[in-house]
Amino acid sequence: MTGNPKGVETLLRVEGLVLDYPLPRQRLLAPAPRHRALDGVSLQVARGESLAVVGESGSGKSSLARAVLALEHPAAGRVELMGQDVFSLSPKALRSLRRHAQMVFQDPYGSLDPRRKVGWIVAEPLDALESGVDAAARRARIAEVLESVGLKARDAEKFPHEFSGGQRQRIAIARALITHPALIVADEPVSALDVSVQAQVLNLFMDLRERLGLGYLFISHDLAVVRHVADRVAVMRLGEIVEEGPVEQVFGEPRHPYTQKLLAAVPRIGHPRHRPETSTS
Amino acid sequence: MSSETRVASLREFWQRGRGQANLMIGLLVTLLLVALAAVSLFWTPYPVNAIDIPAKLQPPSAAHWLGTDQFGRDVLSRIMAGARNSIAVSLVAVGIGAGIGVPLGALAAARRGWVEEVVMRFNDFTFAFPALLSAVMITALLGPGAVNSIIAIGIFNIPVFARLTRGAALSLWQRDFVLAARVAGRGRTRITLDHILPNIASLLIVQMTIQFALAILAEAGLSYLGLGTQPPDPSWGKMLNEAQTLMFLAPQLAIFPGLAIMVTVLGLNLLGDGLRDLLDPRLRRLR
Repeated sequence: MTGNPKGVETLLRVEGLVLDYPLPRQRLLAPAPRHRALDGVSLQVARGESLAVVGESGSGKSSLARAVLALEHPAAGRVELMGQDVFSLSPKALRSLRRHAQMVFQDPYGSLDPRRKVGWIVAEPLDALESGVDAAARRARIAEVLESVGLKARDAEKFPHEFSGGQRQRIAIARALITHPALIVADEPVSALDVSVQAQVLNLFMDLRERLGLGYLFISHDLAVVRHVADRVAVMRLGEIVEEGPVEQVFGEPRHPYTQKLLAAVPRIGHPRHRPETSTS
Repeated sequence: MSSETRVASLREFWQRGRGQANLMIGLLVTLLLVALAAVSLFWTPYPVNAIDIPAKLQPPSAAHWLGTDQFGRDVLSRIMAGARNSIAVSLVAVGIGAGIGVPLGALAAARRGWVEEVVMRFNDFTFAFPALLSAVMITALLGPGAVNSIIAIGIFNIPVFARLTRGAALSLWQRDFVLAARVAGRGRTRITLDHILPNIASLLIVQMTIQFALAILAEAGLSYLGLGTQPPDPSWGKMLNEAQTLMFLAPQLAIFPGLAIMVTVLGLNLLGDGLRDLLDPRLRRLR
């Protein structure tokens, strides 16, 4: 931990992040064209804070989530986690930093290895990031996180296919919690779930935040979900953040035309859009 | 895993496997083949290479269950000893192919970039030559014999496994559970060992049984051409070769080694299918 009190307060600081993906080469000798997924993104997440990133598909939300966890290498910009620049760290130092930031993925069917038992899956970050955990302590930690997400300790012996989508997402959350991280990056964690299950998983996120003081970088395209979980919201469009602020402010008085459009596009029950009248007389 | 849980999971494995007809038949045929080869090491009904001209070309009888060949040698004894050759050649050849091809394919998928290019271009180069023809070329170059035919067949198994492994691994590297392992701080080697290989194991096992069957056929082919096992040592392919001119006089000389090859290949394919089903935890609840 740095001695800088500001560094302690800020879990995640992203500055001017630029990320390009190479596209297929058009001609044999021409350099491969690149697609800019992130174009100068800056944001901060404080300890215990929940920042939501919203935007339509292809706006760069998931690329941001991956770059923040050093799964992608940016063309420019910095990502500081707990005050340390993740891209200038040695692999070993980065590994030890990973204990503090974990990720929950969108698809609970794809994010759990089908060939591994739940206990193994949940303990993977523990096995990789913390040395000297004996078998009994390991079992206890697995049981603890499974129970903290509303599953049973004996579920550790089962395979992922024995669980429903919502339960699988709980397993994925348990895996993210086992190293006692300060930040969880959640990439559309409820969009693959049924609406009733969505509410349960969202409540679990809120409950864990209260109990454990977690900070969230919450990626979503669902504004109702964002309203439920976030303190602040950043609106992304074409790899840029066009508006950022407290949820009430951004949703109550959207300043950027794109945010206004996004909010206007939310379907509302009981507020049917104007439809051409049909002749019933 | 403790030794107790390992024993328990082996027992569970056996109990689940017992209900599968294809696995059991495949296992039975394969074990029978191995037993036949093993027994031939110290016992055969007649000495394998003993010539008995007065008893030549006999049809199956109580004395010679599968008859005798043109030199009066006992066909059953020679099939038993031939199994030894076929198994040894195929096992080592598939071992060479999988042992080199799988790590190469996994490396290409894990490292990408120029490593992948080099591995795959080498693969394409090897693929460009027809396998059996090239095996003929290699044995012609190195000289005929069982060891050289093993090398020749083995070399052409490498790209099969490398390509299969790379293709399957590439799609797995895109999956979220691999990303999750990267977030968990796992390196490429560890991810390959813990996630990639277990998830393509069933694919590789099935391919191994297919290649094993093909290697038996290739060995038979090379021996048939006179480039594999050298006389007087028996091999199924060699026996077919020798039976060729006597097809109408003594068809059993071709039928029995042919049957041995067919049953073995069939048994191995059934075993591969059964293992694939058994190794996939997602298929468990369907049974």
